[in-house]
Amino acid sequence: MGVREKFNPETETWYVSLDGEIDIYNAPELKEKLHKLIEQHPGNFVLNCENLSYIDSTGLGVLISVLRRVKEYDGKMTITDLKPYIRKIFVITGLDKIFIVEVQEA
Amino acid sequence: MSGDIITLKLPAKPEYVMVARLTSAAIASRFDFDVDQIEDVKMSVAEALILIIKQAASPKELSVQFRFEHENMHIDIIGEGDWEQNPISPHDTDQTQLSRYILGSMMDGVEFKTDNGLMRAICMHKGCGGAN
Repeated sequence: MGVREKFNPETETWYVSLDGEIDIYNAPELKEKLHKLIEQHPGNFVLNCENLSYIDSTGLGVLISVLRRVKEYDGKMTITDLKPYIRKIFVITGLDKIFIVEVQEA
Repeated sequence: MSGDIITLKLPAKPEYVMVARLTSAAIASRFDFDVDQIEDVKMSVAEALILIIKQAASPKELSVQFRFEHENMHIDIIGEGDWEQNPISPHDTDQTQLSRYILGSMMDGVEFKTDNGLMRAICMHKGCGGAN
């Protein structure tokens, strides 16, 4: 799993890219990292998943916890460039209704 | 391959879930599953393992058994050893619910087997007679 982040102070938005696989083993590390970013600069959160190849329920749980934290600061969270199969997981779990989701073209 | 049984035994620890996930994909690829169905099997095995591991306060071992019968892949995931109980809360956590949604949607049938409130096994199957 790889995480790259950049904060735009003008729009008060974090741009975060996730690479690789997020699973039960590395999800706690991701949670700690993303929550630290929000504490550092509360604001909006744009999560680019172009290179995310797998996410399990523990990873989805991390994203839900980040969304809650972002909303506490009246921010918006957007998930972009989901691969079609991963978007299917968002649809199955209903998370496509609570996140703003943009899909990667096949 | 019909009737063949493949059994994988793993310590019930998060770091080994990936091993089971990738192994399940390799086994599923030996059958007539398409790419999406293989992904479904892979994901379901991981979610079933997560469900069992998450409730185990003192994890021991997990057994993952694959068998193929009548164009169906059967996967039994069984918790082994005397675990300390950390039963599923009546109010399932968000994540447990996500796992259940995923399993119910990606497999053709899922059965949860509990013993004194502790989930001991998850038995599931998926057919390869068309996309599911």
